[in-house]
Amino acid sequence: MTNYKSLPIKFRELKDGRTVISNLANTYHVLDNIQSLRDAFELGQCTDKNLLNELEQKLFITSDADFESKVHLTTSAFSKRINKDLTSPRLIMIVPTLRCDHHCSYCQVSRVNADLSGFDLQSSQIPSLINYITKIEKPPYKIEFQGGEPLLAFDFIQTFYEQFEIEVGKENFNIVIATSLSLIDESIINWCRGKNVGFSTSIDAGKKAHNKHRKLITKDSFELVQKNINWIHHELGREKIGTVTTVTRDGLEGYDELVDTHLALGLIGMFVRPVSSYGFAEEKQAKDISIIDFMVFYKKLISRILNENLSGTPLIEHFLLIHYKRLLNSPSAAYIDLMAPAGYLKNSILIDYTGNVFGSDEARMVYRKYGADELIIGHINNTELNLEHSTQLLAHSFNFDVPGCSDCVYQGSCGSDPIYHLQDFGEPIGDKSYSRFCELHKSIFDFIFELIRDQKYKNVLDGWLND
Amino acid sequence: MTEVARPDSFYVEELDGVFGPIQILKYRDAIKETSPLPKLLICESKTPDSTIKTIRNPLLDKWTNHGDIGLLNGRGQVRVVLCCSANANTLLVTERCDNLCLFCSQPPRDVDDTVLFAYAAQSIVSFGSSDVIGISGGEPLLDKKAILNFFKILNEFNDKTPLHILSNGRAFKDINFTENFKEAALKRKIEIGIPLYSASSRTHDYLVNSKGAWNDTIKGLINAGNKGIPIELRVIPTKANFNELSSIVEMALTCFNSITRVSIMNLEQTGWAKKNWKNLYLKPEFYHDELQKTCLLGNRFGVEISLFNYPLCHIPEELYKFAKKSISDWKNTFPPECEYCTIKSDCGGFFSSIKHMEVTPKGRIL
Ligand code: SF4
Ligand code: SF4
Repeated sequence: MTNYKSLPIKFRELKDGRTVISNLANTYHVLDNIQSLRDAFELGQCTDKNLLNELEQKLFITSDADFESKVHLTTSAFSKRINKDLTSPRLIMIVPTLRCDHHCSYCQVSRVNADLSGFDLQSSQIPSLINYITKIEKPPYKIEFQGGEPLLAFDFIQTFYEQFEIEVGKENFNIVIATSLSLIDESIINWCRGKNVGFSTSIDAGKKAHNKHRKLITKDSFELVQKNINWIHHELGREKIGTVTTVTRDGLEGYDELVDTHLALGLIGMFVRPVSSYGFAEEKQAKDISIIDFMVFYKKLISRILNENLSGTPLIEHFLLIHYKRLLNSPSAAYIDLMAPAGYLKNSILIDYTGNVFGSDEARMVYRKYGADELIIGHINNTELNLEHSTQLLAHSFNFDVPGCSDCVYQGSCGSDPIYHLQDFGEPIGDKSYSRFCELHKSIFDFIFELIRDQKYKNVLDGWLND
Repeated sequence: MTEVARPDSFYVEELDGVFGPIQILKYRDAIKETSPLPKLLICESKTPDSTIKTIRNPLLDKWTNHGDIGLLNGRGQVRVVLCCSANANTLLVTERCDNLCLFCSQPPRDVDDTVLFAYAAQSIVSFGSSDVIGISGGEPLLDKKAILNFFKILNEFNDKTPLHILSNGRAFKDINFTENFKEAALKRKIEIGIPLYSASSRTHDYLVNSKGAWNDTIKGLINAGNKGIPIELRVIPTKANFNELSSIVEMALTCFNSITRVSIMNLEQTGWAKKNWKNLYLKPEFYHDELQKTCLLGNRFGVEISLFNYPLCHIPEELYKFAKKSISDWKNTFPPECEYCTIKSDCGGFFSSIKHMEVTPKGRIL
């Protein structure tokens, strides 16, 4: 094809000089350098037949005769992709208590001491809670108990489970308890046996960081969590426990230890992301790590993980996998923090210990810091919904038309996070050149293109798509 | 050529002069009242007082079941078109088509054959199957009125037979038709098998030998998918398009909605494919890497991808799990060497129409 038209593209030069291009259909291609971009798209004088064929098949260029259909194909892919983010299921988070036995240094929600009263949802409110849930969402329900430390309110969880099971049927819901596991005991384990209940727990990078951040009176949080993970594995099954790792300054050297810990525990999945605080600027500066520092850590971590895979030890890092799936338009890549329009409210909802309803976990944190009442969208005791502000936030969370994102090569894979930008910039879009959200995801996408240049690493990532 | 395993065509002297579909019955007392077709009772002995046509024919009796549907050609020939014991049943509803694919297995003829739709509708209702029946042509959607009417009749009988319709998809470029089709068709389980042979019109239009076909099919796929009509996307690799196999599938799964599965079909040496065989057929060994790339897309998009009509020894071992033993029990054949092959029981073999069968039997290592 010597005569061709180009379709709209976006591009970005990678560090190694190669140039990524993409389009509204969210297909990607990596050109050798910026000159081949100019040859193909600006000067229209590319003569490499194979390249032209590939660009044509990926909807970057077209013959005159196919122009109209190629535009149709592009818009069809575009709408299919947005539709995917519009229709994915909603996570329902419940905070049965704000009390906690840990004093985590970066706790986002200003937890309160374990013996205080007035910070719990009452069991008597369970019927209204269930009523509310079944009104706003259809089965199957994905429910997550958060805290505080939800195991301090285990009675509540038990009662909720029993009543919810009667209401919606066992096959129609699944519960995850986000917990430090320090309070798990035999009676809890026994109760969970055979039920749709799993656990999610935090493992920080390295014992030092873990214990430093997760202050327990006895200072042995790390040992405790390992022991308890083993226990759950053994008693309830491997699939009943997942981990989340929040990387802080003290963890920046802990990548190997983090992998070792997961492997020693027989875990085959991990989820690693940088700490990001919801609080006042000064506080944030003291706590947050720079994305640059995080990426140095993360690249070492991923390189270790991929090499483990290559030598036959399966281990998946889900934060990377989600980004990879987004680049590939995989249907299963619906991650609340990385979709556009945003996952806020549409794909998550949080009911806190007061019965107030928020559009996301982060919205509750911003509310607690600033008392931003407009972020409360309702209460479980009544049917009134206050959606005016939230729908505004959502309306601003398509990313194809916002400054910065509109011409970003990763726009089709990336997401938007109105709550984060609201708290950092005072409005839901923000300035992407200063946005941590943007910097983080852009870095991860860049990193993936770096990685998959090596076929053996690409094979590992493709293998992860099986799960 | 080897003999087929199950004959489906019989000469019955008594039926000379009779046209159209009939339902074959084996016992008198189980006649379906609702069945709109004339009946043919096959008995040990003829009973003259019967109200329905009764014959004695051991051969026909042997190869048919109670309830099967036969089609009479007026010259005493009966072809069993719907058979309870077959592993796949397909009805031809028209011989006309707006494509002229270079490898068409059922070369179209421009004849007025609308009666075939009526035959098909009556046959389906009478047969009352819960297994999928294939509808093929020609192009079943060429006559839009006829196909809509066909569904109308089925729906009037409250028939729920699941149907698989093989179409070139061009008719769906008409969004109003697509909407009407959906209304009429989705009262049952259906799936439309639509072939797409290239990511550009050049190659697709060449292979289907019709200018403008690709543009129509693309719009058709978009419309049908958006309306929620389940689509089986089909690709036949040939010399002209084998190198874009994975790109075609990738484009389809990126752009279209409602793709339920993807089928990669090895060329069948019948119809026009015979005369174009040299220009079209490429041994799979020359495109193993494309096959592999294509099959991997299944995980990425969460869609099942299968290989049809590939003898196992023609594809790499990693792809065995994608290969379907697809050729109907009575249309496949194996050369003698296959007797020694250890994977024969998993292999679909060849279409009996094939001229040369090259095999490399997989043996035990001695
Ligand atoms: S947030 Fe940043 S990386 Fe994401 S689409 Fe916008 S500009 Fe691109
Ligand atoms: S040798 Fe015959 S049975 Fe064996 S894989 Fe080849 S075609 Fe199939």
